[in-house]
Parts: sequence; structure tokens; C-alpha cells
Amino acid sequence: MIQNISKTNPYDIFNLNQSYLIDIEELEMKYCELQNIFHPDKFINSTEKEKEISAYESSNINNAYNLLLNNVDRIKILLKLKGYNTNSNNEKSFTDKDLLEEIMELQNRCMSIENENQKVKIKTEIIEKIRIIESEINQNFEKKEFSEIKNLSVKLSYLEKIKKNLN
Amino acid sequence: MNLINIDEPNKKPLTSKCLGIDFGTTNSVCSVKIGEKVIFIEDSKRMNLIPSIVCFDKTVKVGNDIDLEKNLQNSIFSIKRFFTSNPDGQIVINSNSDCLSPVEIAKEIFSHLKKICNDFLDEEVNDCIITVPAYYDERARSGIMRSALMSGFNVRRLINEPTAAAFAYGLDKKKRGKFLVYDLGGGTFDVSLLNLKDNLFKVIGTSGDAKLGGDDLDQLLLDYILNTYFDHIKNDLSNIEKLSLKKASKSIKEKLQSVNNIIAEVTIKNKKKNIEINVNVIEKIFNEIITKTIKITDQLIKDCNVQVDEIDGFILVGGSTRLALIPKKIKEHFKKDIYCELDPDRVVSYGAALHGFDLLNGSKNLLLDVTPLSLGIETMGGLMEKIIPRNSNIPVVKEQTFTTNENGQTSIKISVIQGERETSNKNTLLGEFILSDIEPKPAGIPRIKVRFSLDVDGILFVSAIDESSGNEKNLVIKTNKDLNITEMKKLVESSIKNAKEDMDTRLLIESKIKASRLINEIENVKDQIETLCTKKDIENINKTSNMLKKEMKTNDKERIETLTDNLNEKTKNFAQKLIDKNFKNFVGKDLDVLE
Repeated sequence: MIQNISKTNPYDIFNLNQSYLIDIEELEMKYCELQNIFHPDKFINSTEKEKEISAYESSNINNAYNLLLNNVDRIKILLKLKGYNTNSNNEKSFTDKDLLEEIMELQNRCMSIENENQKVKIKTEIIEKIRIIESEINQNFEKKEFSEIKNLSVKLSYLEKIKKNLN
Repeated sequence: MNLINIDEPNKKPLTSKCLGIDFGTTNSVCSVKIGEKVIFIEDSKRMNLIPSIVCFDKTVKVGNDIDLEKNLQNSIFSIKRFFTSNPDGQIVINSNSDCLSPVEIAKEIFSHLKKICNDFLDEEVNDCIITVPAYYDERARSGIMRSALMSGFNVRRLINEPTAAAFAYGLDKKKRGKFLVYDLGGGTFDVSLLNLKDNLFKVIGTSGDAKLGGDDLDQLLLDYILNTYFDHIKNDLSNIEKLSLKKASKSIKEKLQSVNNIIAEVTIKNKKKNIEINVNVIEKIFNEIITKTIKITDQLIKDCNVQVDEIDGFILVGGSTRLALIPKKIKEHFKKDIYCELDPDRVVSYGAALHGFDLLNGSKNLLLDVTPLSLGIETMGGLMEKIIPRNSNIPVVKEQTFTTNENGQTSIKISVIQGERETSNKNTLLGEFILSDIEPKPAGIPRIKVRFSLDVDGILFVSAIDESSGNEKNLVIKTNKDLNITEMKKLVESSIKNAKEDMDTRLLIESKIKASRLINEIENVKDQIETLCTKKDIENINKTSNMLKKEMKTNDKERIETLTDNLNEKTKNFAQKLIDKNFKNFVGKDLDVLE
């Protein structure tokens, strides 16, 4: 009989340490291990009830996996786990004027890309920026500077969006 | 020494059989894994490839049983293509202008496949896996599922065609690594990127064009031949002449798979022409379509965030990839190894049979697939709010909370849409329902939680709940008039278990479907019935519909049919009123006044 394992915390589902940097290969491996147990294909001859649980748990595992793979989502989860209320200061507008300008400038440059070379150059630049921010975020998690992380995550999510649009 | 056979004679097999059915645009193929071997089903003419053609003459004929020269007028080709526009639309099937829907026409093909499988295996096998194009939307998927269920198949899974092919390569040819499956069939183009490991087959992403296939290549070649050689008579060809020309161009295409140059003699209306075509000409004619497929492939690789260098090879699937031009173009563009060792016409069914065996009998192998298109709902201003983005792993359950945009709003219409465009009218509307009895509150206060649940077959279930009142409404995507998939599945499963005779079961299922369709129709317009009908009418309708619901749990076909007719009669009055009312709404005047 299949058991309900529902856990709300994606880190617990995969039995991973609650840190910002995660080992993607380890996550992938554990993801497959769990799907091997819970995937609906494994319950094709079972009762309706078991099929339902399997579909539910298998979706949970998929959702948790995708949340952890996404670095911006991962920050939100971790902040919540550390007890920092992400909705507390609901200031969606930019307080950081420099950041706004930097993003605007990047966006403008992306709009005026003319050839593949320029595209590759900008992409490398963005990837490097993301790398630096991620390591800052990681350090701030160690220092428990949560409000700083929140600001950095705004920048990170903009950079990720620009990178995605470049594809 | 004598060898002693220790197996009991007539011993029951330890494994269950599950057919792998590739329902194709041009041909359908069935196979089944028995023991360690996959066997391809043959029809009475000993053919594996069953043309997906249905002929509605005095009797219904399918596949190789049709004499096309005689029955061209009454034959339906490429019915699979219609599933992408509207699986429940009406198509004229014969010279008497009789109409059937694609679901009903495809049902005839599935029934035929079921019969040849049973004859060939000499036993009744109901369990099957059906493959569908990866890029099929939810409507097309549930349409195929309904067709197969109506023919009495117990559909255990729908799986994607390229995924099935990759499964075959992974298991049979022991391929390991990242592979791109390029699947150009008769009517659809699919491309999927997969990661094949030991016992694990994971789809990273999928894309394609549900309306692009070998049929389009044939048409281009046919147009070229007509324009170049028969320009002056191309407008007055009869259907038979068109068919023979189509055959000729198809055979030219097929011959060019092995030679570089061909001269074919074609006679039409007593005009004999020597048609000369070489690979360079073919390349020019087909260039546009092949470039299109390569573009889609390129974009998929980018969307998956994968570098071309990381890909270990291309797997070619679908009859159209036999054209030497296709591997050549792919090689030129991607500079990757090409794999096509397994027969591109049969590999999909083969993979499905392998997976079906695994499913029913248990196995270490795991197949993880994704959904091809984004799913969401329409929000203010006709925009699409994505709830499940494409290439999400399935199964998946996602919830999102919405609110009202007017003060005191008590109902909300939820339109479920699928597609990648920003505005909802450019995507496919899958269905809509109304959540009513929301507690009246200022705009923006109510919290309506919408829940999307997409199962492993790619079939969607949607529900909406008003969090303050707990009022809930469910929608299983279906066309208004039909049974939903779960209901049909249950019917088929139970009828298979209880079947005394196949034919009776099928007729019973059909009458139950008809009855349930009517009940659903009535449920859908319940509010309107209450406002438009007299108390006595409503009472009558409710009474009969309750009796019918009760009767549907039994297996009394006659009773069900009588009650269905009865209910139909009772609602006629209402239907007329509804038409009047809709018309009134439309023009703002009474019909009588207009007259």
C-alpha cells in the first residue's frame, strides 16, 4: 500500500541540506529515485485510491524538483524556511536607482542586438553577472543577511528573465 | 536421454498482454510483446501497415479491405489530421452527405485494429497503449482516447510518439545520452529532446507542428508535377485521375529514397508524359518544409537550455524521414550522428509495446514525460495567465488564486486555454465553466482558487473553489456533449469484465454514451431550464433524467434507449425556448416581433 508522504518543504522531500547552492546531480538522482516509487506508471494495476495518491505525490515531487531547480524560487523557499517573511515590506518599486539603470541599459542593449556575435557576448556577460550575484547570495545566507538577499534576488530575477528572452 | 518438458500444457501465461498501437495519419501499426519478443500484428492480407482509411459504403470497411479504385468517393483519408482542428466537428462521409465526427470515424479504425489483433493473436486483448503526436493538444488527445474507448479498447496510457521511439532505441539499441528524436510522420511533425540512462527515459522538452507532415511533401510534389507537366489540364482532372497522379508522385518520392534521378512515365487523359525528377529538384521543392522543421528543432534545443555539443545524436522516426534529403539536411545543420536502424514506420508501435509490457507487468524502467503546450485561464482583457507552462513534467497539479474585478460580483467565468500566445483568442479554448454563488464582496476581495491537474496521459482536470464559501465547481475538459474520459474508462473497464459478448457490450456502451451525453447537456443548461420552463416541464425533465441516471447503472440497453428518447422528447420544448431566447439576446427583439 502506498503511503502519503506529502511534505510542504521541497528540501525535505529530497532529503537535501537547506543551503542555497545545491548539487544538481544529487537532486536529479533523488528525484528519479522518488519518481521510481511514486510515478503513476508504477500503480497501473492498483486501486483507484492508490492511483490518486500516486498522481498527487508524483506531482508534488515534480513541483518540488522544479522549484529547487529555479534559483529565484529557491531563494524564496529558503527565506521562508529561515523564518524571514518575504511579504513583510511590500515595496515592489525599485529603491535602488543604480540597479534600475543597470537593468534598463542591459535591456536596451539586448533590443539592439544585430548579430550572433553580439548576442553571445551579451549572454556571457549576463551569465557572469548571475554567477557573481549567486555567490553574494550564498555568502549572505551564511551571514543571515536576509533583507540583503531579498534585494539581490530582485536583480537576479531580472537577469534571469533577460537571459531567457535572449534564447 | 529424453528431454522432459516440465511446462504444464495449457499453462496460463504469467504476463499480461498490452498492445502498442501507433494510430497514424497514413498507416496504423499494432504490436505486442510476448515473452521476450515483440510481434507485429498482421491483417488478413498479412500486412503490418494498416492504411488509416475508412470507407463508408453499404458496410464500413477499413485499411487493406478497401478497394480504393471502386470506393474512392466514400473513403475518408488522414482522419488523424482532423483531430487538431475539431475532434467533434462534422465531416461528410459519403455521397449521401451523411456526417460523422473525427472521433466516430477513428472509432471505426480502432474497431478494425481490435478485430485484426484478436484474429491474429487468436484471443481477445483489450489492454493497449496508444501513441499520439507529442505536440497534440488536450482536445486532440482526449479525442483519440474517446475513439479508442468507444471501440472497446481499455486504454492504459497515451504516450508521445517520439517518446515511444526513444524508448525503443534505449531498450533495443541500448542508446545512452541526450538524443533528439526527429519524427516526421504523415500528418504531424514532432521533435523531442530526451535523456536516456539505464532504466530512466526522461523527456527534457518537446515541440513540433501538429499540422505538418509527409502529406504536405506529397502535395508539394504533386503541385510541381501538375504545374510542370499537366498545366493545361490540371483543373479538369477527375478524382480518380487525381488519385492515380497522387500515387505516381508518392512512388516517385519513395523511389528517390534510393536513387538520385528518376524518369517516370505517367499517363493522364491519354497524355503520356515522361516525368524527370532528380534529388536537386526535390531539394528545391521540399526545402521550405524541411527548413521549417529544422527551425523548430533549433528553438527546442535553445528552450531546453542545452548546447548542440551536448547532444549525442539524432533519432529519425516516421516514414517521411526515409527521404535521403532529411538526414542529409540534419547532418549539414547540426553535424551530429544520425540513427535510423529501427524501421521508422514501426518503431513507434514497437516502443509502445515495450512500454505497455513494462506497465502491466512491472519493470525497473521509468519513463518521465512533459506536456507540450502551456495551460492557463483567460484573465481580464483577454490575456492568458499560464498556470502550467509547457515542458512541465507530468503529472502536475498547480493552483493559483484569482479574484473578482467588480464590486458585489457573484459569479465568475473560467475559460481554460492552451497555447503559447499572449492573448487567449489566439490560443485554443479547451472549455469554460461558471463558478456561481460567490459571496458578494468588494472587487478584489474574494479568493477563487483554480486548480489544474494534468495526468500522465496529458488529460486535464480543472476545478475552481471560492475559498470563503467553499463553493466548488469542477470541469473535466470535454466537449459539452460527451462523457468525460474517466467515465468512459470506467464503462469500458467494467464492460470488459462483464462482457458476455463483445458486440452487445459495444452497443450497450454506445447507448450509455448517448444517454450520458444527453444528461450532461441538460446539466450544463440547468439554470436556463429553470428560468425558461414551466414547473411541470421541469418536474418531468428531472424525473425522466433521474430514472435514466438510475437505469445507466444497470445494463438494460433497451430501457436506456427508451428513456433517452423520452428525455429527448421532453426537452424539445425547452430547446426551442432556448433558441428563441438566444436569438432575442442576439438581436434584442422577439422572434414574433421580427416576423
